[in-house]
Amino acid sequence: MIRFLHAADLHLGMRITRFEEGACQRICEARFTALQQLREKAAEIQVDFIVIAGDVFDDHSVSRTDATRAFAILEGSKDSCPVFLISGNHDPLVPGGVWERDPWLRDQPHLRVHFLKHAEPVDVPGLSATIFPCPLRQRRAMDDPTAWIERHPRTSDDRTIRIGLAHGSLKIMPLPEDDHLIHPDAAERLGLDYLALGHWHKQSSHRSSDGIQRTAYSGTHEPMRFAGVSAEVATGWSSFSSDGDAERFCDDGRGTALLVTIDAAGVPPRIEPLEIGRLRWQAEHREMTVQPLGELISDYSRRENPERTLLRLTLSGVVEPREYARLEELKQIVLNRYHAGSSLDAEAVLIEPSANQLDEVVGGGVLKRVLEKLKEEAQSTDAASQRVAGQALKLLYQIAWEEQPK
Amino acid sequence: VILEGFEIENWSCIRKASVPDLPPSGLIVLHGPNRTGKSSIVQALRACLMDYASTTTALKSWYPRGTGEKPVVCVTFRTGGRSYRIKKCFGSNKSELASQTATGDWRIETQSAADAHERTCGLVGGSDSAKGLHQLLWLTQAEFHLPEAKKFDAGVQAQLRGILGVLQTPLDDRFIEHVKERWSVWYSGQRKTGKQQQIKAGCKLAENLQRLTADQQVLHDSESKFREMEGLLRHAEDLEQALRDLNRQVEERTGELASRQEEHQRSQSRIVARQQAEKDHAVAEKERVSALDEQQQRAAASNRCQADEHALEPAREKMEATAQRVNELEITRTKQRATLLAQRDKRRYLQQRANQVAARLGALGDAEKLSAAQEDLNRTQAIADEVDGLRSFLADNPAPDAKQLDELKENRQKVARLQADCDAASMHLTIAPVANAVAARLALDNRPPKELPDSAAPAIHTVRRKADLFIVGFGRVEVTRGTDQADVDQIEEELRCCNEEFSNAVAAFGITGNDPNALDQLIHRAAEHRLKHADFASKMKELKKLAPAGLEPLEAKVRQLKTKAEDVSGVETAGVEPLPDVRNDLDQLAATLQQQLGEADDGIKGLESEGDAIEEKLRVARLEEMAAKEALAAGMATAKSSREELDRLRPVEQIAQRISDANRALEDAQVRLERTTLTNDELTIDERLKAAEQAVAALQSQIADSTRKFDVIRGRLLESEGLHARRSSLAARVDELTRLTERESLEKDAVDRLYTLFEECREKQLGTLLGPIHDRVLGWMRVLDIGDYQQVRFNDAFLPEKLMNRDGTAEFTVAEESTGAQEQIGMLVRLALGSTLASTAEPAVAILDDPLTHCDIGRLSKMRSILRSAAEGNPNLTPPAGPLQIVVLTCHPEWFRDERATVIDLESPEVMIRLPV
Repeated sequence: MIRFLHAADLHLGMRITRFEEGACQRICEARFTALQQLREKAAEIQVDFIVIAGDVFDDHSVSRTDATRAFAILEGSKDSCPVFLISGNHDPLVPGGVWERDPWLRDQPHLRVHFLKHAEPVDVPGLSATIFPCPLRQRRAMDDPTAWIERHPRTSDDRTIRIGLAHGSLKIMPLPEDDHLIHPDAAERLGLDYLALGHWHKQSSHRSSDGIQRTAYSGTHEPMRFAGVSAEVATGWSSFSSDGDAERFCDDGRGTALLVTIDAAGVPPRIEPLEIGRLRWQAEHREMTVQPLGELISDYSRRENPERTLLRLTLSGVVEPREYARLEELKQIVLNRYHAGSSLDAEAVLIEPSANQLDEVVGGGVLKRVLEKLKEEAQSTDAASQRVAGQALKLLYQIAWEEQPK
Repeated sequence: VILEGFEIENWSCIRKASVPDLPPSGLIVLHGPNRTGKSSIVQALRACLMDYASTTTALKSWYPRGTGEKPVVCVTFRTGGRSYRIKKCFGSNKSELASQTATGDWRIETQSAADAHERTCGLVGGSDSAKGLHQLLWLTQAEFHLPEAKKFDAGVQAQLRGILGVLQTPLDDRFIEHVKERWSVWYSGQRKTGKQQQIKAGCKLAENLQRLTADQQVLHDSESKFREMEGLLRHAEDLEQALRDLNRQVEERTGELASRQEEHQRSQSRIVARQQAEKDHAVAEKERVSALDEQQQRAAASNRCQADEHALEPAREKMEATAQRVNELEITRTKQRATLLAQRDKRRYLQQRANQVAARLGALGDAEKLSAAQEDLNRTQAIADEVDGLRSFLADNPAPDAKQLDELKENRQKVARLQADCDAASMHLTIAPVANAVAARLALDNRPPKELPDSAAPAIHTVRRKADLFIVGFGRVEVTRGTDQADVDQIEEELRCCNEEFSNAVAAFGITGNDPNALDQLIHRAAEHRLKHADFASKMKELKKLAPAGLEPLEAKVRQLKTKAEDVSGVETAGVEPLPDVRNDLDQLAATLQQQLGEADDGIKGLESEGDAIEEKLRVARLEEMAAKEALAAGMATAKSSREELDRLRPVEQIAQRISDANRALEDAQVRLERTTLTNDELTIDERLKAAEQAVAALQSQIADSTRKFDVIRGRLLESEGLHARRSSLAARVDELTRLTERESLEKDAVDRLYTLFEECREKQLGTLLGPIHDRVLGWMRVLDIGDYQQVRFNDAFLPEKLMNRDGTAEFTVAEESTGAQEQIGMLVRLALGSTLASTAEPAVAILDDPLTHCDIGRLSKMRSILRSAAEGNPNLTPPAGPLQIVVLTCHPEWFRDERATVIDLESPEVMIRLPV
């Protein structure tokens, strides 16, 4: 029996831009922390080894610091288990790329880190297991990266556990032809006991034609986006695939890996998901017309681990000026208690005083006319004018409210 | 409040003024010339109704001077539907406020000075005539500016708001101040309507935008580099693929090359044998061909030798015939040349004779010319001698010209006159002193003075030049003899100068100045000179004509002709045949000789032509002879060469043996060739081997090239380490700045929009509220024809701020208008606002002291109707315009008088009595 952790798509040194610079750095830092947690998890549950199915780095031109830190964490300590990893489409094995630079340039094998740069079987030391690595050399290619394993079929007397390690898209749906497509039944056809895949960011496992789950994507070890929100919009990160920010590159806001146990060759593997990410990314939308602000404040101030939550809260609805003035309170909770980069977007919140309040807020003078005019402009078909008018309306209420005699 | 009447006593210059029963509305004109006391009336009314209690001591300056009387002012006014009478005896505590009862009686309300004052102020609306509605309607003399907005009475403004409506609430004020404060974060100065203002440099937004632009540029560069790297990456992939293909091809081609090399090795012995056979065959073939060639050459040389020898005989015959022809032509030419020489000798003789005749004729002509020239020379010589004589005379006997002569004559006349002056008789000086006359001294002709005798008998003194008489107690008496211009000394000096000048002048002509006939001699000499000069000029003219270049050319010509005559006589003696001496005979002989010469020339010409023809024939014959000789020589040389060539070739037998040997060697080589015939593969093995080697080399070169490129890309990609992080960091900064600037720009735009809208709405509200006032004022302005304005913009204080032109494109301040127009606009606004605050139940009084002083006559007439209209009021307007009681104090009653105005003459003793000045 062997037990190993399957992770992928670490995207260390990830390009992330849609937060303030300090927050970006902290979010990138969280990926290293999560990697460390992966290492610690492996030690905790005493797995035999770890496989990482590509995209260790976000790009082949990442900084030396990132490359060195990643190596150091993966290399671990003398008691750590070995790590087998391959290049993915973000960090393909290209001349002058990260894999040809220090410390990854050092002669293989390292003590514990095994970067598998050749498509040839590698026996796991001390175990009756062979890894069939499928490193990528291009960002996009039309070849099946696992095709070479056909040249090494399982012989009838071979009892070695065969593990495929690849980075690409399982061709189980319409996909771009150059997205390193892998035959949907590759594990069974190639005689593999388990095919560890990377490339898709959400955790998933797939059954072969014999009904056994031998193929799985571990998902990214640390979230990269808010669920349900475009990655391009949410973080500034984008994939290199032809179809860009497709659904398969969306995670569900938490970092995951798989614990795989294989009792013997030919025996179906047991696949258990693990959450190992540092942060949770949560994008939430609240309708203030339905939920009073007080409840929202109470809710967000009582949540667990807010410091490990990257929150993107969007509010909408119609509120009274008095209520709108309290939004600042909620905003401070989001900005101060939650992880750096958390935000509160109240642009869609409309302020509408009651008929009784109207006179109280704007009076019967010029301001009343201004308010009427702004309301007209807020209905304009010109988006820019509409936006300015909306903001001006909020300001009007805000200033008028502040100027009320206390 | 309106005035019903007033009485004033002892106020300033007013002894007594009484104006009762004023009409409740309409125009009331109180007029009088300057210094009548109009302004004093206004001051008295102000003091009595509002400004002072009777006990005040502040009004002493208004007390009448020198009378000791104190002012008493009594004003009857109506307010709140009742009539009141206030009487104040200033300088005392005597005051009385009374109200009129329904029966017309007066009921005293109070007699306390303070109470009366206080209650009166309450009734008329204030204790200060410069505030409240009075600020608008009670104008001091010549005042026409409207009050400033900040100084305009707040109570009046409040009343106007009460009538016209709320313009801007305190919340509005605080709001717009807050907005302006925020607005000034991004903008400087004042917001300008209709203008897109630039954000101020140095504000955070401007700084962020600047940083964003800079960061975007850096990010753009970084992204460009990233794209370049991606391109290199793709290129590297292509190169890697290509290298794999090339290596595979090299592998294949290297195997192919090895097989070619093995094949080449195998074929080598057969190829060498074949090559030797081919070589031997080629040598044999060459030898055979050479032998056959030699055989053919010998046959051809033999034929050519025979033909050349046969061709020699005709050439020899032709050469002999041409030589004979040349000899014949040479004999003919010798004879013809002798005839030509004889003919030429004859012509030479004739020419010689003709020349002699011509020389003789020339000599005859020259002799005639010599004679004429000699004659001309002699005549010219005589004239020249005469000219020389005249020139010598004139030089030896100089004479003055006319001007000099006149000057000399004038000199002599002057000398005569001066001499006459000098020679005039002396003067007698008679001195006859009275008895006991004071002593006197007399000096005569510069001699020492002498005491005059004191006898009473007259003494006569002769004075030549000068007498000086010194009289004690009187002074000196000088008597000098002379002309009007000079005394005797001066005349004598002038005479001496004239004589000296004359002597100098005549000395130049060889005459002494002492000679009494000097002038006559010079006159005579000048006359003689005039005659000689005429003759001299005539001779000179003739000489110039005969010998313009002097005598030398004439003498040279004579010498030349003499020499020529001598030469001709010498030639004549050399002739053999004598020539006639007569010109006619000579002319006839010359003609004959000329004819003979022509005939000789024709003969010579014919002979020369004939000689040329013979020469041409001879030249042709000689050429033919030369050609024949050359042909013969060539034929002989060719024959010799042919013979030598034939001798050089091998004998026929030897050549036949050589051909036979060559044929045998060729047959032997042919046999060997047939034995070593090569297959197609053997034939092409070298080429194929070379092609395989080249293919491998080309592939290896391509591999080297691709490897080099691959290494270059590797190097570039190695350099890109950290690019991803830099891009990411830059993009994060740009994103953050974009978010920040977008957010702040939105905030800025929203604040600006709020500001703009507030101003617009405020303007609109102002327009709505002040509409009635605006319409009345603008209507009146159009009546007065003040500018061509479309709109008058009022400020918050209900005062005009700006004037908009007809098309709304420009706005002006009231101060930009003329002084007259400013006064009129001010008056119109006062009337409009006053009417708004007045009502039918409570009309208001407007007291205008000396108004419209800057108004022209045309506008005054229109202004009068406006004042009347304002005074009447208009209940149909919204809000209604109340009636006004307009009291005008003026020294120009004609400006305001009309049929409905109440006109009061302040000069009338029934109205006002002034204190004596």
